[in-house]
Amino acid sequence: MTRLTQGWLIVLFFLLVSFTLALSTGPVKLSFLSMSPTDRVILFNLRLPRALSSFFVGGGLALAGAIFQGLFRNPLADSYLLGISSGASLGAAVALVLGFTSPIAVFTGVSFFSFLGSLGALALVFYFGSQNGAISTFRLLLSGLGVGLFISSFVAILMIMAEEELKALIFFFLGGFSSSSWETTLLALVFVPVGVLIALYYSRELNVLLLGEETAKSSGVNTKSIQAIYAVLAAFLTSVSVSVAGLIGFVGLIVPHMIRMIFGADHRVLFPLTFLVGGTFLILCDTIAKVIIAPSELPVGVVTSICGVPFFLYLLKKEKGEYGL
Amino acid sequence: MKILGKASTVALYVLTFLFFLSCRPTPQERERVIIDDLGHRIKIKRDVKRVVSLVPTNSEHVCILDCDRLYGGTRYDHFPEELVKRVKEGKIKIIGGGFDPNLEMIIEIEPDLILANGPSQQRVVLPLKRMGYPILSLYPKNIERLKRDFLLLGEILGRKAKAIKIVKEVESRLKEIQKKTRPKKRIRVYLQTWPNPMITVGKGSFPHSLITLAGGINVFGDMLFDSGKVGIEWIIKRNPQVLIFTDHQAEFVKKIVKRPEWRQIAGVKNNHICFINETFLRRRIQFIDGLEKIYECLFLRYADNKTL
Repeated sequence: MTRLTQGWLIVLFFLLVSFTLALSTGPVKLSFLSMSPTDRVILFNLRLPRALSSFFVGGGLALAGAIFQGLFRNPLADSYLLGISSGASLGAAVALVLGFTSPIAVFTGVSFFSFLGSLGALALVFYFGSQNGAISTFRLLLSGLGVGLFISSFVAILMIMAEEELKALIFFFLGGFSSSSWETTLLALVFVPVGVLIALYYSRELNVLLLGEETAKSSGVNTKSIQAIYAVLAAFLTSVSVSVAGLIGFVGLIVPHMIRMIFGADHRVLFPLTFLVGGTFLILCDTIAKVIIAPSELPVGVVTSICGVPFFLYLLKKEKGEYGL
Repeated sequence: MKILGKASTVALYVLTFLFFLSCRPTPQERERVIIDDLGHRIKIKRDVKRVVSLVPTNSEHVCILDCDRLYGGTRYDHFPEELVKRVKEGKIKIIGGGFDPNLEMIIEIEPDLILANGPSQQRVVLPLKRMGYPILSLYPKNIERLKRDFLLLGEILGRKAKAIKIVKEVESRLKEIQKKTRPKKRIRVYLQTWPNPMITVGKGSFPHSLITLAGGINVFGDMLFDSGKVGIEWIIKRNPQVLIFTDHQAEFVKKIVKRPEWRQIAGVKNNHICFINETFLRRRIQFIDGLEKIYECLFLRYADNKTL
């Protein structure tokens, strides 16, 4: 077996284990063989959508991170680049502090407006980051920085206006799946798989692009449109994740690096594995968040950092070869 | 005779002088030393006339006792009505919020007492403290401390009798409730203060004490924090007989009562759900109003969803 096949098997195995764990862990002990109506409700209305939510959000964030890192050739790029988190925060803060509710019944005010906010921020970032219709990654990065900082100041103003909403806002900043239902999961369930397919479809072109724009052009890759497709795709994946689960840090930054350290930087391999590992990782973290300070729950963002960073640092120390994008 | 007369006049003068001297308050008497809830020793004038409060509940307490002496409050002060009226009339200045008070405005008021609350506000008031303003931190952890702090405030404001009267009334109403709840079986209660994420109250919180005194058991009374996020599965597991929501959550409740997972909960099945205004759960001397409302929700009329 090659290292890659082994890797795939291990990843799928862990996914299966974590999914089973997520479905069987919780305050109520389910008897899977003879289920009571309550057991059934808990399994199918609560645990299943929650596990799926965390899988697709984790996968989406990790994939978005991998795309951004490749696209910007910057190891510090993560899924919240391009002002997405600021835009989403502003949307959430507007919904919470000013009491706006969602016009679409299946969404909560926070998830609707954070989605809207992140898309709005993206539009601004792409507007300022492009010149004559062409996007340069460098410009995009700086534009994201500027727009993000600008929007953050409005979030701060709303935070000062907030009273009891402040705590809810903080929970949004830290992310979580405690109020997951099929409705909240829907968005991720529909859009993330589509995003994954698009990312895979163009991954060969992205590989070529990373050899340098000149090389890419000479081998017939339309560099500008590939860059644009990936930037929009990654940003959109992040927006979806944020509106489902709030801001969950770390997954988008670290998971792609882990995969790269172990399996190398070929995007045809990197993308699917990053997606699966990101999803698995977040399922596990959410399960821990659910039980560790029971009956209360930790924000899942806290768990992702506490559990993920040590492993990441271990890999960093262990990896002897020349590591790079 | 003449000499004697003169001597007696002198003696009279001296005595009068001595009398007035003894009457003039000594420095210790013009000020009193108080140790506040944070253990700080502070010196406060005997007759405090101008108070600035950085906490809504403290503003409310001062206004109940003697609203004339409240010169500065926060933008979150909504009680009692007298206070709101005075703010409109410009008699009470809004000095900002608890964490962003305008220090210049406070100094302009020339307060002889500034009321703060717990450790979280100490950083903001530090400059005022350095300038020598007396800062009293009232941070009652439980109802006993709350009553004591209120009496202390009454004494400081020269309204001791009024404070005692109010506390006595609160105590007798509390006794009344306890008399009624004693023979009753305790009821499992879930109190939610925020819908998304769902936030409830824990052991150390004030609403937890209110629920307990009203004859209920807080189903998350084992949670270590004052408030925390909980998942619906835990609520199903704890199976509260009564659910109380703060009253801005009507929309949320309308949605969840139809959901199958919420239908697993006894209180939802029996439609034993109440709404309460958040101000009734605050750490204020009128807490008894909220307590009575919770009692009413648990034991009296609960045929349908009630706003208390």
